[in-house]
Amino acid sequence: MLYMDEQIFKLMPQRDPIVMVDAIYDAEGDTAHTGLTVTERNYFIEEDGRMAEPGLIEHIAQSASAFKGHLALLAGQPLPIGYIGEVKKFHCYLRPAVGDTLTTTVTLGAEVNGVTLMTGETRCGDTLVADTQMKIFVE
Amino acid sequence: MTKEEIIEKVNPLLAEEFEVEESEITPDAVIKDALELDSLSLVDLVAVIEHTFKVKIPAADLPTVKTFEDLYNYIESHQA
Amino acid sequence: MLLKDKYFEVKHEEHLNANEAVYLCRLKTDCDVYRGHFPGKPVSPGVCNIEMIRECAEMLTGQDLRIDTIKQCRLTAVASPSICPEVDVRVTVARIEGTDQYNIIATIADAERSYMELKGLLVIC
Repeated sequence: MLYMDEQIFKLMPQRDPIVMVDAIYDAEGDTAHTGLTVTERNYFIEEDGRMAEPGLIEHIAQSASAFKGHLALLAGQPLPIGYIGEVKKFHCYLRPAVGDTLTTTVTLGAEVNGVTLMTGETRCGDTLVADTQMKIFVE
Repeated sequence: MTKEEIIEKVNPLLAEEFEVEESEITPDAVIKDALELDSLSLVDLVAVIEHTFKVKIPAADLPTVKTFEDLYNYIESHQA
Repeated sequence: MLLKDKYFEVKHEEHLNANEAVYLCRLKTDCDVYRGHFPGKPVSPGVCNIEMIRECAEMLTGQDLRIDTIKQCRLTAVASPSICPEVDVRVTVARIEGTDQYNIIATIADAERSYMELKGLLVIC
């Protein structure tokens, strides 16, 4: 485990009520593994106790943002503020429920002029929850 | 890979990725115009080339790659 | 709905036909999301705008809809309640025959610029 709970705040600017990642398990090369335990306080939980799909997109985006924050920290650079530039080929297989623990693999790809390509895949246990490509625009 | 092989491989991939007709991809055509690239989709071009040919185009080199002819030459001279 | 009347309010709606409508939405400055996105620098989260589109599509179809696929969603400009207090959310849906799915095309824009263009697949739940 590299970072958990409030330690994540060192890596990204997002704060309550929209913090959608609570663990970085490991990071090596272009790939990091992150996590989120879904609580009833989660901003994207609907009346049926399940997460709305945009919450999964935000989880994956913040996973990449925190990973980039980790890399900036290691390089002694200031913390980047990242925005989602594009979501492509996002697929939601199931909406996670309160109590589920999500684990996500994010892989950073090509980068041009502050726009980074990335892919993310989120699972709950062995079950695929969502996957997507994304572009993160860093200011 | 010869230049002809590069052209044969990359044109259909670009046509698919950027949803344009392959006939629009001619050696003299300006890439940005033909593929309707903007600040966001430029990285898609770089990713397609990197993934297909293992050729990285650094941001500093991008201004030299204007036409498809430039792109074919770049891939040909930088391939492993 | 998750964000209607919390993150946005519908001020006016114009139905162009059974499958297309424009919702004039006001982005609420007092929404709690801006406490954390970002502290001291309110920016409308792109994912909240995606959710706003889903909720507008539910209003248009009268169905509970889930996002199955986003083929592509481009976020073309930074949005916030001060940059764009009111935006037009234009939603076009097309039921895929023989399925419980809709193709959706949606845009978020104001007179100044476009903020989001989305193409995807919604499924009735």
